[in-house]
Amino acid sequence: MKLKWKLLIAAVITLFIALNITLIFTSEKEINRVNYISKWTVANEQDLIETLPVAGMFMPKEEQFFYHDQDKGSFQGFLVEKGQAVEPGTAVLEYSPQNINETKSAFQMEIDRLNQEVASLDQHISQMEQLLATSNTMPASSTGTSQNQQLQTPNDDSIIVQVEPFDSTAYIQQSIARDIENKELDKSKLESEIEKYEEMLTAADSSMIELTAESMISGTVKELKHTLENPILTIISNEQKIEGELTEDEVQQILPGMKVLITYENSNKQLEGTIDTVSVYPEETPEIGKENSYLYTVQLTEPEDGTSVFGQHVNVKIVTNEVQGATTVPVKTIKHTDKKQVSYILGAGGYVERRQLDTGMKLDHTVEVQKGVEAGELIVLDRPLLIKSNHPFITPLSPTKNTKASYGAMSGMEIFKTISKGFLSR
Amino acid sequence: MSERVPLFRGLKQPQFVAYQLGKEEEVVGLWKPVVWITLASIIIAGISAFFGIGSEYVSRSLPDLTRSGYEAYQTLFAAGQVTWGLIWILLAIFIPSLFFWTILEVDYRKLLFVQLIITMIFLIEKLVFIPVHLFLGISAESNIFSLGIIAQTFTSIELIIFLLANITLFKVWAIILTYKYYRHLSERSPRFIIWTLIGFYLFVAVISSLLSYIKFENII
Repeated sequence: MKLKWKLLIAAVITLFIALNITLIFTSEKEINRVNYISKWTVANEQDLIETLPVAGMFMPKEEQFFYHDQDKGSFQGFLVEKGQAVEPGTAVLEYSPQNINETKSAFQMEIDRLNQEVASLDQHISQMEQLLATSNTMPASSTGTSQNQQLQTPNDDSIIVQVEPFDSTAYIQQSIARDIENKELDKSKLESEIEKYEEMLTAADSSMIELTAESMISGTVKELKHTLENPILTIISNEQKIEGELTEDEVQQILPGMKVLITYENSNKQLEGTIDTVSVYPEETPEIGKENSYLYTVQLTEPEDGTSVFGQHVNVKIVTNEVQGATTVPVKTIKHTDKKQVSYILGAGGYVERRQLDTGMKLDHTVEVQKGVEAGELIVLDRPLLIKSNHPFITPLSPTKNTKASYGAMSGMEIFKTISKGFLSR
Repeated sequence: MSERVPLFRGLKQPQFVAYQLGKEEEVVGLWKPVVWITLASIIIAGISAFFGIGSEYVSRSLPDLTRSGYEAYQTLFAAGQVTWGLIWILLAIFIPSLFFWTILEVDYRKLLFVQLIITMIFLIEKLVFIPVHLFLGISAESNIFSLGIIAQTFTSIELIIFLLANITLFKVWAIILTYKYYRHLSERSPRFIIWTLIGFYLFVAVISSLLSYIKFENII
């Protein structure tokens, strides 16, 4: 065939094919298409837990400090040893009562003295009262009846003054009464002072009862200072908490109340706890250029059974985000278009369906789907370039996924039917 | 030609081979090519079935079956497709040659030889269709080598679409090539040859599209 003809034929054929291809994409009527799906997965239902791993240590939950209190008396001695176990109520320190006894006798002397003064006042008062009583029985002596007298003022005015006769008995009675009143006043002052000293006495008495200091917690004596430097005794509780440090970035994500999972060596148990406190200021004074660390503490849900020691390093996982029973799909299956998130499902009838999704929490390569896909639905993992929804799909054979059991499950008739269907579908 | 049957040459240099064929008294050694071509057809059918081409029927049950159940189903289906690949090529080799033997008065073996060359074209067509199918995401009725797409743009009648999709570039090539050979081999007029060829293939196309239309897989 001449070259010219050959070229012409080649050109026509190419044009024809090109026309067909163009029509596939631009035709208004949907051309029958088929989606070739080689990989797909299923939407799972699972719990998504996002954790932040940090380091921590077992620390005593509480510490009780004891200080030297001069007012309690002089320090007698320690009643426990370092490392000794104590319970609430166990006496740990002793004070001698010497000081207190001295104080008490001083108070008592004051009280006695005051009582004496009160007694003498009482005597005086009763004497006065007697006097008052006898003056009442004396006859009234008067110097006569009232008279009018005329007096001259410097202004040469004259006034008339009425003069009462002088009653000496009444005068004496009044001055005695006044005296009694004063003495009674003094007496009550003294009595209140006595009260005061008596109160101080009972106070001193009660401090005698506090001669021993007791432990309030169940724990161990951590240290005692024979130098009597405060705190002179420290007790650490048996109950533990977890303590650790967070970096600046970490501390912003952690809030009190968050759940915590703890694992440590020598045990394959996993403990649970919650974040108790998160420090808002760093452990050391912040400086430009220096990394800050913030203290956090964890309250254990159940007390630890004793395979751990204080200071033991633990691995702490703080649950920063959690969704229970979430429908999840791999992140790869989601296509992002125009602010929408879309995924393709292998649906009933052998058609590919396009679904729009509302997503939630993301964790590694998995994301929670709140709307759009149900758990158990099949999702296209390996999207063909030209995937089209509402068109059928085909899958390649995966010989490795064949199992003898599935063939056994099919009856001979079914097997024959299936083969014939393949045969006839050409 | 006592040496191996020059099938490929017959494709590329039909003039030469046709001429040679015309001169020959007898053609021997056809069984080997028949076996090769049959094997090739089985392999190509296997590849096609492996990719799931034509298995839309099976895909429908994917959501309902377990993975292994689905795979078993599809494998059996593929076995059926491969079996068809075997049967079909034998039909394509022997039936047309038989038909034309009755009307052309040419030695049957020679016709067989020609037909073997022609079936290679059909195998090429099937082979090419595999990547096209997968990459463009098109199905048999939207074959870019056929009139199927054009048919879909102006009609929705399935039968017509199937029919036109059957008319492919490769078939045209096959008809032209067959015509070239038959002209050398037969004394009949060229017009006769052409029209019977076209008629024959059209007839086959109609039967084929009817079968596609009936969708036997739904009936069984």
